[in-house]
Amino acid sequence: MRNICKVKTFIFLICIILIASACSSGGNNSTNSANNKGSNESKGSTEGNNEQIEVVYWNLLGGPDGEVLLEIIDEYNSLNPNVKIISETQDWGQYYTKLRTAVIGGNAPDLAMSHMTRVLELQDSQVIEPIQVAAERSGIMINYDDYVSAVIDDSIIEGERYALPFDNLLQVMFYNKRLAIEYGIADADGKLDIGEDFNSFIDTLEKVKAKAPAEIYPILASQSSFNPTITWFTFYNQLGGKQFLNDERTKTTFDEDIAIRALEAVNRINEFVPPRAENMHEMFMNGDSVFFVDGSWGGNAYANALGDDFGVIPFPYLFDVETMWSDSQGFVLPINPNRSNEKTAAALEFVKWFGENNWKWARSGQISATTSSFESEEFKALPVVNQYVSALGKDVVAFPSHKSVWILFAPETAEPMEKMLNEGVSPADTAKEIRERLDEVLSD
Amino acid sequence: MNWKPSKNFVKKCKLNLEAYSFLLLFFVFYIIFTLYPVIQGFIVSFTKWNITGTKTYIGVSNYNKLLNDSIFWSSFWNSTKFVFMAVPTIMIVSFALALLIDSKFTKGKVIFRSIFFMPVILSVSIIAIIWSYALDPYTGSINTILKLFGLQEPIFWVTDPNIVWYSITMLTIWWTMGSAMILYLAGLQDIPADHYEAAEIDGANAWHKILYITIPALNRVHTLIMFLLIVGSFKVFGQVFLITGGGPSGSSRTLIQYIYEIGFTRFDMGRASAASYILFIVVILITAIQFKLMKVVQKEDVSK
Repeated sequence: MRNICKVKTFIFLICIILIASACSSGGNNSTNSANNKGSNESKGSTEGNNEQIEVVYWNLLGGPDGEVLLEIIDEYNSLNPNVKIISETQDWGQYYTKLRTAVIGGNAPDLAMSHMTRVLELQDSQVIEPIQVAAERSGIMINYDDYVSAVIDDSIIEGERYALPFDNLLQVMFYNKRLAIEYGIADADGKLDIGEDFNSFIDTLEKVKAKAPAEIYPILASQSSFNPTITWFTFYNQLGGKQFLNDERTKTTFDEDIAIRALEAVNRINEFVPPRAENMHEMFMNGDSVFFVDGSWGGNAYANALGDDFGVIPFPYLFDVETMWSDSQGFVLPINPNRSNEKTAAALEFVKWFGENNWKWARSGQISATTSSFESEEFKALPVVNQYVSALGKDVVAFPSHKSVWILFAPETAEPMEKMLNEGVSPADTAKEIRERLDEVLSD
Repeated sequence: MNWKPSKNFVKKCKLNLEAYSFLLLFFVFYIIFTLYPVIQGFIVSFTKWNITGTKTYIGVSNYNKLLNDSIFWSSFWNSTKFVFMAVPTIMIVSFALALLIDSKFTKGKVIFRSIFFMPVILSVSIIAIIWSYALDPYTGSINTILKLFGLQEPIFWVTDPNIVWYSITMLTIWWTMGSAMILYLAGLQDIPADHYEAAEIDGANAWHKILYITIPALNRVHTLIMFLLIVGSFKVFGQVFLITGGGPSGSSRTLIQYIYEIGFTRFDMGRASAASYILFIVVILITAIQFKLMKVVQKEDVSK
């Protein structure tokens, strides 16, 4: 009996010890948990080099533009051996959720990026701090006037600048030069002729459809996620539509008739697109279509895949007003009480360098965000981006920012559009549903 | 007169003390990590809170908003639809498999058991990857094989709102039938062989045996599996979210995904808690009904 008692007590004590040690070992160790996809340098011990400052940089740049980012970071790290920028790429769809919960949980990265149209949301939910104030405090002189972006005003909230753009995003029309020449819609040099307006563009697509075999599509354009929303927004503004939201940003004020006409235009183009295809970018890279409506962020990948057949133009002006959608991505400083002043300074030095060498990032297909970059020889020599550089300086329009709804990606816009494109819901009903669902969430 | 505790009483106290001290450990963690958050969640469901700000008390406004939100109802209906589709089919498929494996005509019982059980050990991310590729309309393995058998137009397994739930049910059956099958197999071993022999003497064929001996004898296993499947199916999220993302156009958005979007994309914690509580109450009601059922079944068993 005594032995059994002893065994029981022993087991009881072991349990307590195990549980106590399990509780204490789950401490914050952000550098060890760093998913270091970036650096080609050896990982080494994080405590090895006392002088090297590590800066964890969160971004959502997976895919081909992510590779360009990693090259740029490697270059910066080798130029600055006392600093190590560690890129941690998060899943695109979950990035903002992760950033916010990381700040709340005390695991915030040292530096992060954000779409400029979401800076208001991040500021309102106390995720980021003013970047200009931090730069001035660290004595880092950034030439703020050099930066140009359609959305830069959205990053200045209550007089403080919260973000610095590092690129300008555009929706573009990629096309297969060889197929375009073959079906007679481009001249021998591959210069497209799609007419001056929407109807002539549709005629161009009809011409391709008549000449091309069944397995080659005139045009590809995704029916889900943010792509149709961008196209709709572009058409809405090209048709003269204004004031998507009211000034307080609590409800939609888009003109119903213009919105419906814009939806009808998106629908009309969709008639040439195969239904519900999931991997349109792969299909385009395989040469299965003439046109592909996508964002500037894909440029690098498609250029590599198509080689000499690669062609791109900025999204055309198909209606009266010469404008198109744009957004920007930029650097933000997450609120992180664990970040020392040295780390903040190191992070902001990187931000400054990135701006001064912004043309390097344009290799990914995005347009630069600094005037000095546009004017540099290196930028002008980039093969992909200089094909849509004619869009620079032209009027562009971005979605209005909101403190909790990202209209670009919200299901309130994406789902009704998908139903219209794939299930035949009428544009009038779609416009109504978008308005109802957006009004619900905008005023929350 | 002094009351002196008997030796038995002292022994009982000692044993009880040991038992309770082991249980105490569990209860401490239960209170901290289960009970406390559940109560906190209930409180939060009456507030407006965006996780970084302060909580503002707003009464039943969250519940009102939910009950008037068509997306809440469509998500609720989607999860309920899945329960109705998945529970009977998984039970029937795993029961049939268990019968087949247990049959005296089957060689290699262990191999078949392992093969059908293997998908259960895969994680939800692996399942999502496998099935996303398999169900792709233009390049997926399923449509490619069907094309060999004469399929003309691709089937949009996860992008056609009329088909998506059948696809999700199909892959969930493939993934989880192994566990129910194992439970049925275990139950089948408990049925005495002489029941079958007696039935044969009375002229029963194989189908009669299954209907009148096997199925009734497994009543408790049926109830247990049904209980586990119903609760689990209401909570379906992982494979749906990873494969369809709630699409096409929200037709496969489950209630848990709705709660996730409201709570962690919109950060409207109050409303997310309220939605969680509505699900909680529904599942409790169904569980209560099931427990009643189990009691009735047990009474029948005893009276036999």
